[in-house]
Amino acid sequence: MLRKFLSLPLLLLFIAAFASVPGMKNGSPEINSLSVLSFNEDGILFIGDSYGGQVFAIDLKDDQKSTNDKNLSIPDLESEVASFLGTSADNILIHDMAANPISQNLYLSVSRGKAKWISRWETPNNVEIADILIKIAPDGSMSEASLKDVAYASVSLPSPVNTEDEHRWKKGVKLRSEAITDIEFQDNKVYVAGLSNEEFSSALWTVAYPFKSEAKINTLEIFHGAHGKWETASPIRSFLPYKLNGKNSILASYLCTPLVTLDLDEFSQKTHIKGRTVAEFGSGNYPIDMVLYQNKGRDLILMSNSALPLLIFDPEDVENFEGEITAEVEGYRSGVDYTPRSGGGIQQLTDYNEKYIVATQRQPNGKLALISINKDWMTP
Amino acid sequence: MKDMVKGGLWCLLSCLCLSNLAQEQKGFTVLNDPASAEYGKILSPVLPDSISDRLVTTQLTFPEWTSFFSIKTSNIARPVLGDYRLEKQRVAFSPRFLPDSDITYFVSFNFNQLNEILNIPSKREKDSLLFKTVEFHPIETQATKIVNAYPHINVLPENTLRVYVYFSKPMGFGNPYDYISLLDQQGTEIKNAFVELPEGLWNENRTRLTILFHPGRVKQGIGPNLNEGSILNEGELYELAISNEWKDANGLALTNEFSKKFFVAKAQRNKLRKRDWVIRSFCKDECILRLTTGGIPDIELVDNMIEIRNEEGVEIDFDIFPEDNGSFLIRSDALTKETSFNMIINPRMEDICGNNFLHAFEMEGDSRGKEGKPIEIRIVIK
Repeated sequence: MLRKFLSLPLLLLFIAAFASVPGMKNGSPEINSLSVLSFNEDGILFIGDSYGGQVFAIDLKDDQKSTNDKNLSIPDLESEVASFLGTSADNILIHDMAANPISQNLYLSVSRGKAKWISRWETPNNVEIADILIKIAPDGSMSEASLKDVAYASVSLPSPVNTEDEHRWKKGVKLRSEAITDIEFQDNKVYVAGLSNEEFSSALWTVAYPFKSEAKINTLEIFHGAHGKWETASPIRSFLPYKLNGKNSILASYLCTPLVTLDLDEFSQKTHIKGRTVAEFGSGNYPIDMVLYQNKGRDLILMSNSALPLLIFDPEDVENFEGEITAEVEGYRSGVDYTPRSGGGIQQLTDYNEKYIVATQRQPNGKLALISINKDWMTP
Repeated sequence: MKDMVKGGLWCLLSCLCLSNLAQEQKGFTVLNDPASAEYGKILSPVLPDSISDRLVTTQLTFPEWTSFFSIKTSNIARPVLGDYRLEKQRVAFSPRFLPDSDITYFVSFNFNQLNEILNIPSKREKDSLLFKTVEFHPIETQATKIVNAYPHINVLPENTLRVYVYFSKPMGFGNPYDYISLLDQQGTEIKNAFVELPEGLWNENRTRLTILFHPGRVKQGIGPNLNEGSILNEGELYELAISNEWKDANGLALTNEFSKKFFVAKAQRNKLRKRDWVIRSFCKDECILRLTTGGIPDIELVDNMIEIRNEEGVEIDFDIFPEDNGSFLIRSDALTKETSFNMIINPRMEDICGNNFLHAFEMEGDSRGKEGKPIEIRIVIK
């Protein structure tokens, strides 16, 4: 009799412990590469593991709400991270960055090892595998975000690009490093962009979160204005889910630098999707990050690039753009316009708090700084 | 007695060696043997019983540990990430990542700060703060060496177009031609001998470099050849030299310089002929084929240009090994006595002078042969 009374409260505790993290188990997830980081509004960290072909949802128990509206800046981020890892600034590489919207703790996926990033066409994931997660608090303190003994769930992506496939023109780069290029979360779904081993390699996977079902794959085809042709092998570099004209859509940017809209309603009806190219932002460049923010009450998108300056474009302009780019662009740009902003050397972007977007920026002295961009100033 | 002395000396020597691996540095112990599983570990000075007993039962956070025992890359840097634990009255720090041998680490231990954390009221008057710099022995990564160059033989035709250099591990980025020189018999470097692509002509894992002799100087009668002359001259001695300052993909210099001296023989300006390609078999424990061609085939084209098929037309796998005399050995598990095969050669298979079965490298435009049929050579193993 006593046992039954004891077991019921324990059972309730057990359920309560897992009710806040449905579908998760405790343990140490086997993550092969911390390729891409993204948070949902509940502070769950999604890690895209290109080499493992999986997406992990991690509850880091980092849920103390922060009302901080201050900026965060670290003048020499690489040296700080390097010294934390016992090495020098030229020996580390920052692969991705994401801020927990609840705590405003910033997370960086980092690799240690000789920085081989010498080609402007390569991404950090092309040259090294990120193997440590660093957390930076709003006060600038730094710690390792351990992935041991955490609550986590995972889903395998069907048909990721093969591990041995080589990049056609980036010598020595394995395509598997781009199996996952970006992750976004919206309306209880995780969207994962990257490369597959399907006939058309550019892909977008969709999986409901919590992970109760398998991820579904759609392959993609877009018209590349600068190249004058339809392309299926170049992955999305950065994207945002966004409602365009009332329709659930994806705003996606690609290498060299088309901006494309994808109608999410089509994804359940077809496996191969043709996007609608609404802009050519300019060749010789790849987009790094896109962040949606509000400025004077309206939505705007800030995009960082490998060679182009920081740029702002208005999703309303995308909504109002009636055409579609299906022929080689004459001149350098076409379609939806953007405003270039000063911000040379800006790499990673992440929405930080109500006032700021945090970014990494290569300084004239060669150092990589963590800076905060005031959203109020980012007016087109 | 002699044995005892010997034994004693041996013991002393062993102790000295062991102590070098675990270096005592002003109370700290640094485990500095790259071969050890504990390489990079640093142990604090021995703690009094009162402190170590208290530490056993106290859970400290990383900031608390580093407040009294820290390892840094500079005096003002953040503490290095690692694991702290108590080991037999000493605090042991194990870094998260192996240390860099080119960084000086600053190690400090503050007894009074530790007392404060443990709520021990007493203060040390003397030696309360210990400080030391540490440098770690480099991990002996096996650096890359130049394994070989092809052709192996030491007599090359005057109109040689290609030479291959093989490395034991991937080489770094950077202009290979900063490290490669062709010297004449006076030891003078021959300028403009190669097509100098700054990124080099590499295989996919950067272990094989193709050195392309300037075709404009090799080919007779065209501008560079007329203006600068041919690169190699028949009857003379040359040296292909590669500096060991060249760094591999790990940033380590090559372990060896490389020098290949060769004589230059008459140019080979004719197209390849089937009748010059002779295959002989010989069997002992296994059957091997020896291929002689009268020239020097481009061995790196073999994979794509030469097949061996059995009587049923099924392609067999084989390995090909160049010999020092210019011939090749071919071995395959499929080669057994009383079997027959066909070697099928793409007519565009070239020698190292760029001649193939359709035309010589020197032949101009229309005088080049049209697409030809594959060359077939019968192989009978008796």
